[in-house]
Amino acid sequence: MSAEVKSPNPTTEAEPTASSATVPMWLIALMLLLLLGGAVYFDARGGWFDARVYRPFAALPEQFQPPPPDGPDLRPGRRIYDAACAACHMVNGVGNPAVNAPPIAGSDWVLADGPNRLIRIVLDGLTGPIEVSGKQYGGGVMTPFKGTFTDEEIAQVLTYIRRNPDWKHDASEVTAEQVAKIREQTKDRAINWTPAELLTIPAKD
Amino acid sequence: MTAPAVTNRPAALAADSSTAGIDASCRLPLFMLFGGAAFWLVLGSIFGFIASLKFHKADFLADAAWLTFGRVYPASTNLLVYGFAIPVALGVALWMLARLGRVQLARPWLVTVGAKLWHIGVCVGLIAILAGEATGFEWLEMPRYAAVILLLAYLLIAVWAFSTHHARKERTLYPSQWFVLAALFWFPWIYSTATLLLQFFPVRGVTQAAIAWWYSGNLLFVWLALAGLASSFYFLPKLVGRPLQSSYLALFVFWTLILFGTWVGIPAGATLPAWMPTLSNMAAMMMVVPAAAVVLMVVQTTRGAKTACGGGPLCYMKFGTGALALSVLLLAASGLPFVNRFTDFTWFGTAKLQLWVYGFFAMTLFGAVYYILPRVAGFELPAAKAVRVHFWCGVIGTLLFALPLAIGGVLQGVKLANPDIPFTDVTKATLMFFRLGTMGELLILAGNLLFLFNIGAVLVRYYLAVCRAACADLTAPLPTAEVKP
Ligand code: HEC
Repeated sequence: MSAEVKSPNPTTEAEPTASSATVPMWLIALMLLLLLGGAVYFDARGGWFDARVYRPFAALPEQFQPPPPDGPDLRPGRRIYDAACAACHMVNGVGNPAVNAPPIAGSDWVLADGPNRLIRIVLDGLTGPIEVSGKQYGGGVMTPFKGTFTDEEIAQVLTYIRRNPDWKHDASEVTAEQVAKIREQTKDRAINWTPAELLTIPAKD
Repeated sequence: MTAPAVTNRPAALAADSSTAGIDASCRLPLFMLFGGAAFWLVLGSIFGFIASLKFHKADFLADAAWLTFGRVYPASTNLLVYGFAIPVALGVALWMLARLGRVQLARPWLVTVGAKLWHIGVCVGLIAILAGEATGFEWLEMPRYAAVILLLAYLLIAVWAFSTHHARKERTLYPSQWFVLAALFWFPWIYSTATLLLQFFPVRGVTQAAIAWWYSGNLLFVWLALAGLASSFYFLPKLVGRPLQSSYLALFVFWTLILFGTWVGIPAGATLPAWMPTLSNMAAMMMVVPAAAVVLMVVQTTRGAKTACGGGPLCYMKFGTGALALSVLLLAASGLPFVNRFTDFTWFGTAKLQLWVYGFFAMTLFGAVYYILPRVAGFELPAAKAVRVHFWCGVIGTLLFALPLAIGGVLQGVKLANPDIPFTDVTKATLMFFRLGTMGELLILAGNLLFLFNIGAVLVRYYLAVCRAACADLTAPLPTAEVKP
């Protein structure tokens, strides 16, 4: 190449060097902490590398648990219950005195002839003193789920709590149509139900 | 790989390994790589701009099949990565290997041939995409005949990169060399695997999706990161005139990046066995670790240095680090289940990638090119002021593109999750953010034009000088000819 050109920096440039400061401990701690969090996260959702487990399921038995031979499929309802209701009523349905949540397992409200009151409880929430299976509870507030769940989902979770074999429940199934009807009737309601109010409504049409 | 100890670089250098000699050996290959990269970059951003105009006016250019969204959009992303990112990173890597090894580049003309071949491959791939022959895998749209050309060209360049490294006179390795060498190996591995398993001997079913995501995750979050960090770890200490804070920290970045980065990329809602998206989201959160280490390294290396950046390479590198941090935060957030319920498959992902690819990678590499170019050309950049303007276009453009889309993406996701809102309403609601994004895109396009302009001006000036010298040689009565460009 005959084009002789001068370099903008004619002196020999020094190349960078690296000093040997140590890696700070907090960085290692951060990594271990995140790894721990990640492991918990993976344990809860990862299905332990089983290629047959797909989201939203996290374990094989859950995904492949056969639906009960007769009667409706309780699995979708169980997922909703565990995610949305178990925080107060506990997974095993015994309730939680800390938030004044009465039991679901064995509750006469849950096992009523029809779902009319239950649907209202889940749609708009509940507050005020309540008698469940002969015992008094009070002081708690149950939040409304109107905006959270569809008719289908409310029907699923109620079917689950009414028919859960672990609790020896065997009441009738709840359908999305029943929920839709009551949602329509109560669409203007803005406050929680009270047990006294609900008792004036027949449990079954 | 062991951490190098602090070294005393030999002060006396052999005559042929003077920096000027090394720079001259890199000249033609780098001109070829950078020139082509700048051209593809501008073309790619034009395609990208056309693609986003279609969101404002759906019938824009709708009659020309080869300019429909499904073709111009992949054309723009592929030009950004294969047209711009890879050749520009290869150019910078070759130069760093030669400089750090204190040797001239091995076989510059073969590297130049490789670079030419690479650009031909990109051209073939681009035409194929526009003609509707795209493969349908994101970031891997170029069909297999283009892929073969690209792979051959890459190997041709990489072989001489290794050969240069092998002949190095300075035996102690500097961290940037680890990153470059790993990157040189990484691409042919992932690209050949993905091409073979998706195009030549396609695997069945969901495995295809898994491989495509694995490939794009590795390409974006490992390859680009390795190449970009090699540059910032090399140039930052050099520009501020201080040693890199710590080679151990660099080692930490290196391994955590490779370990976690290679899992990133599978969206939470992917229809794959649950462990894959779960692990991938976990890895996305873990990316916070290398990112924090990089920020620490950059801050400690540059803190207190009296060098003003003045819109030059140092500014580019610092902004690149900031964009890296921001983008990894978005990435980690989208690994959390209660966030990705709303962000998966929305504009949020686009914003995250833009921050990463343009804000971090491209800006860092622009800085490197602006540093290298005058040295290999042998004269100052003809349009040095444009460097500053390009910087601000890049910064404002990136932020104006990424931030509104990130916010808009979350809102979009929240609305999508609500079955009462019709889909078209959701789309319409994002338009306001999208308009801002398009303005950002215009600024980026302007910056890219300045980049092309600067590189073009160097090339024109250099080759004019060569021609003049040749003419003078022919016509001069005396056999000596001197050219002052
Ligand atoms: C915030 C805590 C909370 C959550 C979450 C909650 N509940 Fe309740 N629930 C309560 C409280 C407190 C009461 C009692 C209210 C009162 O004292 O009047 C109650 C009462 C009930 C009752 C009537 C009494 C009984 O024990 O039979 C039913 C049925 C019920 N909840 C079902 C549900 C279902 C189904 C869900 C999930 C969709 C749910 N709850 C979620 C707190 C909660």
